[in-house]
Amino acid sequence: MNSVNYLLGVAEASASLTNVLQALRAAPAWQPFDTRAVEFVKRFSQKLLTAAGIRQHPELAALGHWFRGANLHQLAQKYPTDIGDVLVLGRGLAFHVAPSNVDSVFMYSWLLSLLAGNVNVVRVSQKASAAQTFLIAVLAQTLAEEVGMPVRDRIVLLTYPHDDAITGALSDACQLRVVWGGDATVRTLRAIPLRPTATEICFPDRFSACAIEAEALLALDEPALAQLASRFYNDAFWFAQQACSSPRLVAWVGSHECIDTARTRFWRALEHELERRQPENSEAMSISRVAASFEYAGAGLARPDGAVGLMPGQPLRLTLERPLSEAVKALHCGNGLFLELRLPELVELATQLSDKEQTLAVHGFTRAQLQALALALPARAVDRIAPIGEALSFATVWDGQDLISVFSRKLLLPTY
Amino acid sequence: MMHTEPLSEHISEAAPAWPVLQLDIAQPYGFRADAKDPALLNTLNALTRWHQQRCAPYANMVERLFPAGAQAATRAEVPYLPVRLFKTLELRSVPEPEVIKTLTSSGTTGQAVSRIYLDRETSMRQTRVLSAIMASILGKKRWPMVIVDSADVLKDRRRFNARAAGILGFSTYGRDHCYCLNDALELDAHALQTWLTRYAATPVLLFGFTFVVWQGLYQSALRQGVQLRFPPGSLLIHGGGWKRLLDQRVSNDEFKARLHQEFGIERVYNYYGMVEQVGSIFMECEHGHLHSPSYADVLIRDPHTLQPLGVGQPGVIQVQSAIQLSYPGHSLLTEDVGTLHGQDDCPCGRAGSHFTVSGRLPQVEIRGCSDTRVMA
Repeated sequence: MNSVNYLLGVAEASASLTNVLQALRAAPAWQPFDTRAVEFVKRFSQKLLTAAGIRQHPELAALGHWFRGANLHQLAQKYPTDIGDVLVLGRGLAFHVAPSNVDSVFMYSWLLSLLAGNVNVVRVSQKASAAQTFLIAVLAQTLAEEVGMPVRDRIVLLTYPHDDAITGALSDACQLRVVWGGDATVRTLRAIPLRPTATEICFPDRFSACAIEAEALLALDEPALAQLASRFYNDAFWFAQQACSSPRLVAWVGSHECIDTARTRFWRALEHELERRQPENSEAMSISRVAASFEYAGAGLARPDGAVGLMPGQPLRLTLERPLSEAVKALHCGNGLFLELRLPELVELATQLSDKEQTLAVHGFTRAQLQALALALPARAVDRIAPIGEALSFATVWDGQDLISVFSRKLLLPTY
Repeated sequence: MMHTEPLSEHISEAAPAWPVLQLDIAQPYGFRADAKDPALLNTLNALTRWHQQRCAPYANMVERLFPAGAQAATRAEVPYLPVRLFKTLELRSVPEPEVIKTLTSSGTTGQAVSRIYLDRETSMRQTRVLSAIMASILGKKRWPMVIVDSADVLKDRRRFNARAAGILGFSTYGRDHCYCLNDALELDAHALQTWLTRYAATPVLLFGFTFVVWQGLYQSALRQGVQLRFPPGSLLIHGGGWKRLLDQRVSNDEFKARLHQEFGIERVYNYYGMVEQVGSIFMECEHGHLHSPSYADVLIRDPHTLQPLGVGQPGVIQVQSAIQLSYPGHSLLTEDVGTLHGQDDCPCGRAGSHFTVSGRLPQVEIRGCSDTRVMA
C-alpha cells in the first residue's frame, strides 16, 4: 500500500496514511457553523470569485457564489446548535469520494461537511483537470492565510489508484463516508466495510424529468412563454443534459387537443431560445442522439412523432411507446434528447417513476396536485419537485437528505 | 471473415431466395452509374426487406425511422444503422445455429466491441467479392506473400478479431506465407531475409495493418539497422485506419514515400474497410483515391442533419454493400469522416465513386454527475 499522493494538507509526501489518519482523528469535532469554519469558507469563496482565470470555470464561480458570506449567515440561522436538551456536533472524520469526471460536484458536500463541524479527507480523481488544479491552488492560498490557521489540520486532499486496502483504511478511520459517483462506484464502495459506528451517504446515478400542464402553458403570452423556454434551457442544456437533475423526459398533462397545441408552442419557443443561446452541439453529440434514437426504436420503446421518420437535430424528440422503465432510462445519452409522454392527470405519472428519479421540474400545477403526486409515489422516487429553471440549483437538502443534519449528530444533555 | 478453403459455388438444398449480387462479379470497377446505381439500389432494397423479415430490432428501427422502408427510390433513402449499434445490440438475421463465425472489432481495451454474425453464404459472398477486387490488382496467380504481423494473432480461431480476420482473408491471395514479425510485433529480420532469398526476381505481395506495417516493419527495421529490399514490382496492401499514424503525424503520402525509399516497395495501396462490412472493401488507386466496387458504394452525410452531401464536401461516411445476409449490415453510418471526389471520373479510369477518408469523428465527452453545479 501507500501509493497515496497528498495534494493538500499533508506536507510530507512520504507520510504514512496511518499517521495522517491518526492525526485527523485526533482533531475534535466542532459545532455546525463554528465561526472558524464559516470565516474560512467565506474567505475561500471570496478568493475563488476574484481569482485570475475564474472566467474559464463558470461552475467554480457558481460554487463561490453559493458559499458567499451572506448565504452562510442565512444558513447558520436555519441550524441552531444548542436547543433545549440537544447539542449539535460534527460527526468527526468525514471521508469524501469525489466523482471522476466532475470537478466541483464534491466541493459542495465537502464544504458543507466542514461547516457542519467535521474533519475532512477527500479522495479526488487520479485524472487532474484544469479546474481541479485551480481549486486546489485557491484552497492552498486560503489555508496559508491567517483565516486558514484553525482549519489547516482539518483538511486533507489526496488521490490514489483504485485500491481496496487504502479505501478500507480510510473507511475504517472515518465516522462518515460520502460517495459521489455512478452506480458502479457506489456498489464497489459499499462492499468495503465502514467503521461500525460510522454512517454513509451515497449519491448514485439518477434520472430527472419535467412535467408541464398543457392548459397552463397555453395561457402564457409570448414573453412569458419565451421566459419559460429560457428557464427550461438552463435546466436541460447546461452540462449537455448530463447532470443528474437535467430533465430528460417531458410529461405533458391535459387533454389531447391541449397537449398538441401546447407542445407545438413550447418546442417552437425552445427552438428560438436555442438559436439565441447556441449551446454546444458537437458532431459527436449529434451522432450520439441519433444512435440513441435507433436503440429506442429497435427495442420498440420510443419513436419519432408522425410518419416522417428520423429527424436528426437539436433537440431530438421521441415519444415513449411504453411506460418509463429502467431500460428507457439506461439508453438515454443526454446531449439534447427528449422523451415525451402524455397523461390526463399528473398523479398518473407516479406509477411510472422509481427510486431512480431525482428531480421533477414542473410548470402549471397547483400545490395540491403536486402533493397528490408526491403521496402516490413509489418508495424513494423523486427527491425534489422544483419549478422549471431551478433543476440544477444546489440546495442543502440534496437527494432527499438535509446534508448539514446528516453530516452532524445530536448529543442529548439534561436541560437544567 | 473470408474462407481459407478453396472457393466453391456452394448452394444449399433449400436455398432461400436471397438477394443476389446483380452485376458481373468479375468486373468490380467495370460499371458506370447508369448501370450500377439501379442494380445496387435493387439489391439494397431486397436486403432491407430480407432483414426486416429476419431481424426484429432491425424491423422495429426501419418501421419507426425510415418511412421509405424497402421501397427506397434512391440510395440515400435506403435505411441505415449507426455502426456503433453492433456494439450494444445482437443484430442477427439467421438462427443462431447457422452462425459459423462471429467477428469482433479490435477496439481498445475496455471498450465495447462490435459483434458481427456470419453464416456460410454471407461468408462466401464476402470471399467472392474480395477475390474479384484482389484479382483486379494481382491477376489470377497467387503471389509469394509477406504478412506483416505475428502468426500469434491467429491463435483463437473461434472468435476472430478484425486483425485476425483480415489476415486470414487476405492470406488466401498469396502463397508461401512469411509472417515477418515476432510475438512482440518486432521485425524478425533474419527470417524475412532468408525468405526473400527465394524470390530475388519475383514480385511479392505484402499485407498488414497500417500501424503494424509502420511500427513493426518500417520503424523496427530502422531501429535494428537492417537493410531490406523487396523485389521490383512488389506490392503492399494495408488498411485498418490511420488514427495511430495521424497521432504521429504520418500522412498517406509520407507513408508511401518512406516505404518506397527504405524497402523499394513501389506500389502501396491503402484500403478502407471495416469488420462490420467485410469483403466489399474500398481500394486505393494510383491517384490516392478510394474506389467503390460495383457491389458497394458510399454516401457522405452532414453529421448534424444527416442530409447527403455532394462532391467536395466533407462529412460522415455511410457505406452500402450488397453482401450481408446474416446481419443487417448492408447500409451503415460510420463514424469516419470523408469526402466524395466524383463518380466514374477518376483519372485512374476505374468506374464508380471515388473518395478519401480524413479521420474519425471525435468521441462524445461523458460528463456524468454534475448535479451540484449551479448557474452563475
